[in-house]
Amino acid sequence: MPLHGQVSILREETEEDQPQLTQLRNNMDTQAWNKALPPDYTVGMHLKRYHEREFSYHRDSARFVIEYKPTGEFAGTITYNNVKSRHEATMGIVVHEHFWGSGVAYDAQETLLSFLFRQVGLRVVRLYTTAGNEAAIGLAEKSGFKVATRLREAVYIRGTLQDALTMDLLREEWFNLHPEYDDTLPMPFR
Amino acid sequence: MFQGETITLRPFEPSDSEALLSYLNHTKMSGQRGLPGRFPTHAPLTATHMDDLLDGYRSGEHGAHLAVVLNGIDTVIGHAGVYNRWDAHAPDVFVTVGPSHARQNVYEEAYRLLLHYVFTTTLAHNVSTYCPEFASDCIASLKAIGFKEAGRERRSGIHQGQFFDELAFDILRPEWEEKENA
Repeated sequence: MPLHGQVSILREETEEDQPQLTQLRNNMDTQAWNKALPPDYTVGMHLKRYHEREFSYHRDSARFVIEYKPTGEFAGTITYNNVKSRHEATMGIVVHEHFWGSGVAYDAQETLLSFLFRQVGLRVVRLYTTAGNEAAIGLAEKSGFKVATRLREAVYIRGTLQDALTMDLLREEWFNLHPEYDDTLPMPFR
Repeated sequence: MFQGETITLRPFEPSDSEALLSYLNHTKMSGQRGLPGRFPTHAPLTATHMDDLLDGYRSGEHGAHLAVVLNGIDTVIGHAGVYNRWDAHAPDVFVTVGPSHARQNVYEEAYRLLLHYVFTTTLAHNVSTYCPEFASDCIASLKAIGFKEAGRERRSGIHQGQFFDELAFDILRPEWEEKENA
């Protein structure tokens, strides 16, 4: 069953999503990598990647398509990886330009965080961004993320040197922002 | 290039497996072994793990991996390396030293050798590294060399019954050059 937010649905990828995913990767504003990838990825490459995913009960990553609930349109993609069981994961989000400012990115982010904290049972979630990506920083801060590390001039993107940021969000910080939920998972340490 | 006053950084040999196991399995190394994510962070490592590790090192997995050895007796006391898997502009370096030799001068010498290598043979502009918050000798060595503190990743790992944060440090090429020319 997909993860349902207010205006977004996070669902599994399908073959039919691959053209839109290719488009996101080939758009220099949405590929969301802190080094430029050549905008020549093909749908065939993405299909190959899609078909090479293997079944496992021991997953340390996931990637969802973000669907805009009111219309069912493809709005972007949201992922997590580097999962250490019950401990941590790193998340990432890419939203199609058409949906910037629509609230779907925040809703998808909150939907994923709810899954990671309330079902996967993580103690901290991290993300990477760059100092020049004010939209991404603002989006993360809206969910409670704080800047954790700042590596100076570590990224060269769009002709400018930028700081590379990591941001993190502790489990109790997220629950403090969501008093509607009780955190029943015991906290073993500080 | 990789020889200092008291230590040398050299490639790993298959015969280093036992020495690696010896310090990596020390209880003080639990949670801070400085190994790729596929290896256990706390549970005892085996000779098979070491074969896998050394195979990865020999293949140049994610960058350069070097043994830290004491000059004269060629005993492996730690491991060090340069990761540039992401971007040659901003590699990260690391030094892990077994508890018997984890002193500031050893870290400092190893980091100086790595920085010299990175800044004189690659296009690096920012070099970063990470240290557990309790690793005071490592932290002191980084500050002495000129690394600047760049924040902390909270709850990075578990060590002796507690979460610990990892401190991030970085140094820019002009800062390193200024230190070198001083």
